Amino acid sequence: MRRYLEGVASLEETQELEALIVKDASVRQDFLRYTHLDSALAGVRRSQPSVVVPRRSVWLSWRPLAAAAAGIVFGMFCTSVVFGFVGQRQALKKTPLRMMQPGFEDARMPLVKGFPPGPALWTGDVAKVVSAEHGITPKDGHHMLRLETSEMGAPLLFPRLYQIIALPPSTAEEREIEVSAAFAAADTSSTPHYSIRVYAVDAAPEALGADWFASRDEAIAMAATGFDKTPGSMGWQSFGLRIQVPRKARSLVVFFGVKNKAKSPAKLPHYLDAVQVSFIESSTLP
Amino acid sequence: MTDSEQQRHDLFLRLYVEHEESLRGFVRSLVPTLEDSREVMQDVAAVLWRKFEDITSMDDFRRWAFGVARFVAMEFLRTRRRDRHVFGDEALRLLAVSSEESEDAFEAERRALNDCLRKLTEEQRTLVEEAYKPGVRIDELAARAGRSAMALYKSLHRIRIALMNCTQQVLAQEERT
Repeated sequence: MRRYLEGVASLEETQELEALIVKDASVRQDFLRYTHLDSALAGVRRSQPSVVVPRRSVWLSWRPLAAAAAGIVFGMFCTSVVFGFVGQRQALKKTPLRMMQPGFEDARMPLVKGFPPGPALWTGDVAKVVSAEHGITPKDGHHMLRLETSEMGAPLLFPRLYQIIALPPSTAEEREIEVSAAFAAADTSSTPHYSIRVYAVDAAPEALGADWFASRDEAIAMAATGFDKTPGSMGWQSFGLRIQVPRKARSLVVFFGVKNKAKSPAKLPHYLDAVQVSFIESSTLP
Repeated sequence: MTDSEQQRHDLFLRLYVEHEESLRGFVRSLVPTLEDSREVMQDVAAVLWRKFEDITSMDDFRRWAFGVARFVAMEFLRTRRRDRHVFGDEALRLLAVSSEESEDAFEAERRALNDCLRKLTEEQRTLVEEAYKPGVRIDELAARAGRSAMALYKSLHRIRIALMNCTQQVLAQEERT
């Protein structure tokens, strides 16, 4: 039982335990008691220091509005490794949000123009899923997203992409979420400004209308960061941010943009890849 | 958010919080590791909220939520069967049935656990706290403590068994008084 619940049981051990669980109700009951205790101990760890917080108390202590002002922003960037190191005494646990469409590996994925009509859907300006081209190979997998710099012959100065993520309910007052991505330019001489912005919203994804971005100041938390590409630099530029998301938040709007210099608009496309959105949990090492 | 949306959200949160620990324990019984159960619970919460408008009677929330949790866990296991040994559908079905039937007893044991944790030695308590931190690997924890991973696993197992016995005693005592 112990080995199964640590994920290290052999096939024979798993089958033996399974047979007992199916045949013997008392074994089944003991197994359930053990797993419920295991889960409860993880819960005790969540509600330290010394007592299990009664569920009613958790509910009554909910302060939805107080959390609204708690958008704390961490912006950082580097060129190769994102967030590899935070502090000498903190270990980070990153859990990718499973309710988002993270990558561009599905080359047939629809890319709707404008603001997303629902969650887990990439939308934005003229863009296309492509494989390696213009000397740029995908950062993750075999595909990346090409952001065009012109549309029907006219320069496109601010290509951008959006995605709405439906946040699962949480009992935590705040959750820390990290958003990171990698940008690349086919034109090494170009000097665009790459940006990531994240908005926490207290409305459900389906309630965000097509014009939501115009009223983005109403978001209950917001974080933004950017990266200025220098002339001549090549390859992927990876950077990201962290945002403290209040419990009240039900949606996360993530925005990825490129700002081309108006005086010298890039003629070749930009690329986006390795988009990651993760819950961050830190634990202090002894 | 409109008033009705806010009310619906509030109602959902109240019901979810009320049953969250039960659901966590149930999901934990269906998947092989604590990390797996955390991942599954993330999906369970999202699906519950997404489908919340489908529920017709709030009295059915617990049964409905357990059904959703079981479905999500089984989906998760289907993707894991290729690289990990997991139970088959019949065992999962029986665990689901027993878990629902015994939910009140598990709830009582969770309450009693509070008393029992105070009876652990400082060393035992520290080990539990460290081992249950999210993302902690027992082999790394063992290396830091200068012990083998197997020794740590066994220590934790003994603590859990002691806590299970203790909760039974606490509940028996409560019944007598």
